[in-house]
Amino acid sequence: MTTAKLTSPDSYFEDFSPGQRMRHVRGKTIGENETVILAHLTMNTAQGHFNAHNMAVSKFGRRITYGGVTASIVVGLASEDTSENALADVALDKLRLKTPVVEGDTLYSATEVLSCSSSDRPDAGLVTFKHYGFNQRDELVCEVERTVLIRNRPATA
Amino acid sequence: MSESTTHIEDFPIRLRGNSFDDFAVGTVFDHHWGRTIEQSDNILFSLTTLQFNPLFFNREYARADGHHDIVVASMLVFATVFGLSVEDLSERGGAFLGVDDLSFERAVHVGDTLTARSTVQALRPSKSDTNYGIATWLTEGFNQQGERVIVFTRSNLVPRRDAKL
Repeated sequence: MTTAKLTSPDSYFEDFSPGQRMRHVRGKTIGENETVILAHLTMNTAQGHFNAHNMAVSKFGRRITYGGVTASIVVGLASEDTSENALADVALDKLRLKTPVVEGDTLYSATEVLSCSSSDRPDAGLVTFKHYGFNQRDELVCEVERTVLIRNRPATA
Repeated sequence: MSESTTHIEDFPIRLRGNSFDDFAVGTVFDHHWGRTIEQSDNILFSLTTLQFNPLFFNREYARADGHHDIVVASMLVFATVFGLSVEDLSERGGAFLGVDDLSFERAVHVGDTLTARSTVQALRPSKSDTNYGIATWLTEGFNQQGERVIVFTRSNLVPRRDAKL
C-alpha cells in the first residue's frame, strides 16, 4: 500500500514552523453521544455525565461533558491539520478546562505552533502545538500543549 | 403517584468515591476493573472525536508503519485511564482543573488491556470555596504486560467530608 497517498501532502514535519497559527475549519456540536456514551465507553463513573434527573437541579442545569472527551474533541478538530502524518503522540501538558461544556454546545479549535525540533529518529521530528478550544459564544473552553512525532516528507510526496 | 408503601429513601445509600479528607499524600490507589480496548471502542471514540490519523482506523497503514495491529488513539488511552480513576479520586463532584506532564510512553494496540493506578501527590484547601479542597494525583496506566503506557498529573476540586453542597 502506498501510504503517502492516504494523507495530506502539506502536514509533514517540514510544513510546521514556530509561531504558525491556524483556525480549523470544522466545528462539532456536543450531543448525548459525546456526553453520555463516550463517558461510559471510557469508564467514567461520575453520574454528572449520565444522570439528567440529578443534573437538572444542579447549577449546570443539565449533564456536563467529561473533560477527557472535551479535550479529545478539541485535539480531534485540530488533528487533520496537525497530526495526520504523525507517527506517535508524545506528550500533553498544561491541559486546562476553563468553561464547562454541556449538551448542545458547539466546539471549535485553533492551534499555534510553539516549537519544532529534531527527534531521535532520522525520518521524523517533534512539533509542540498549543490547541485552544472555543464554544459557540467564543468562550475559551480548553487549552492544551501537545507534542507529536511527525514524519518527514517522504521523497515521493 | 405510586400507591407503594416502600420508598427508595427507606434504603441506606451505599456511597462510592472519596472526599477530600479521605486522601493523604503518598496514598496509592489500584483502581478497579481494567479495560480491554476493543476495535469497536477505538473506532467509535476515534471517529466521533475526529482523531484523523490513519494509524487509528486503517490496519494496513498501521502495519506499514511497523505496528502489529491498529493503534488505539492516544486520547482514548488518556480518557480511559483517567476514567478508571474517577470512582476512587473524583466521583463525588468538583471541577476537573487540569492535567500536566502527560507522557504517552508506549503505543497501545487494539486488544490490549489497560489498568490504572494513582498516587496522591498534593492536597491544599480551596481559597474560593471552603466546601472543597484541591487534590493532585499522579496517575499511571499499564498494559497487560505491566508496561507503563501513560503517566500524568491531574488536579481536581474535591468536596470536603462535611461539605454543604
